[in-house]
Amino acid sequence: MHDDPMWCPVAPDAVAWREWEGEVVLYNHATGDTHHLDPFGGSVMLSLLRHPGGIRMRALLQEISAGFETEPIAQLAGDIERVLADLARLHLAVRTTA
Amino acid sequence: MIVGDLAAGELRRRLRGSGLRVRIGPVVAEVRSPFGVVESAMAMHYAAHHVATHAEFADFHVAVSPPFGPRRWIKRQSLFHFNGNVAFLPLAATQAFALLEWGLNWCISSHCHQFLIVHAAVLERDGKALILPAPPGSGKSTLCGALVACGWRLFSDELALIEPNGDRLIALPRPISLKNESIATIAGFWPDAAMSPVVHETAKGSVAYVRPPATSVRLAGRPAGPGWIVLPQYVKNAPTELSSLSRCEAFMRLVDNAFNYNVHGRAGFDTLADLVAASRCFRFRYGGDLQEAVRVFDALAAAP
Repeated sequence: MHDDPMWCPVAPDAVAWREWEGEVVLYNHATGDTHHLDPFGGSVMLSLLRHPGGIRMRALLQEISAGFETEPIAQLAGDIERVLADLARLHLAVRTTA
Repeated sequence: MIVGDLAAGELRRRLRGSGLRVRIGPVVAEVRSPFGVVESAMAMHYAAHHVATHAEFADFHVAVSPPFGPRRWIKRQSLFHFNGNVAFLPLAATQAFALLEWGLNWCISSHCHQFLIVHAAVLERDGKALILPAPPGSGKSTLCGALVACGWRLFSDELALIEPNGDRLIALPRPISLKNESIATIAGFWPDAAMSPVVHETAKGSVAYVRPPATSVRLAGRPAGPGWIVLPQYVKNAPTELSSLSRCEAFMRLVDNAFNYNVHGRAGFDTLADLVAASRCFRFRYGGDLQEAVRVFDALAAAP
């Protein structure tokens, strides 16, 4: 297994989103579901959407850490993994083998 | 011509014969019913609504009539018919007008997909819409009645009709539906309200209707732009409190209360998002002090 996994948004063309005051609402046309993401979850999801072909975990951590500098990096990595697992459960993100 | 202009006996003749075509905001409903309670309620609550001719298209053909069989005569019942088919379980004949109102809500919310429809009371001031989305029991209609009593224009007591793109709401002025304790509350707050007799033991408890102001009906063709989205919550004896609400939270509450959001798909998301982006969003809790509640909303409308 790769030690720096790649994460992709599922069907990025099918996703519409708005960001207000850091929070994000998002519509997934592929499932018909609407989601409300807190600022942290929203920033992870928007990072994925900026990389429709996928982004490595380390690069994602680097992007997110810019906006959440107060958190220790190890804790931030754990939080991102938890968010990615949630996004995968919601059919918004997928871990790829590439 | 408005319903109130119909000559004596003409309203009855139409309701019992070819149907009364009445324009309600953007829709025309053809109503038939032999029940006296429907006739008197239509005369009272729809007096200011335009009568459409039979040459005009009717969006819905509805009837509230007695069933065949013994329930036509003993423990009389009423049935709601939509385009000739029975749509719901029967109710007591005394509840025939409530059945008509609930049936019309269903007709509009499940067929008028040219709008994105949200379960909400809507009022208007200075061209801006105050949207009060809420599930039943939140004090939405009580608040709506109090605001109408104090000069806000009644847009709709029950259904917010939002045009695609979210930049305009369309008025649907119909009777304000009051339930249980709110009937006495509004009767006390608004003694001049034209209120129907109370019907007891409905599925929603006791129900009474307040006639929409004639001005609101006359101005039904005038849309409103986004203004405020306020989530009301009645909590007995709670202090009156208006607090800010995040736009994302307001958006999700609109989705929760929408009837046909899924029908619109991506366009529905964009419509609600545009509406929320152009509105100020709040949460409003009140404990029954309607004077104070109206002061809060008047101040909100007056704020730059």
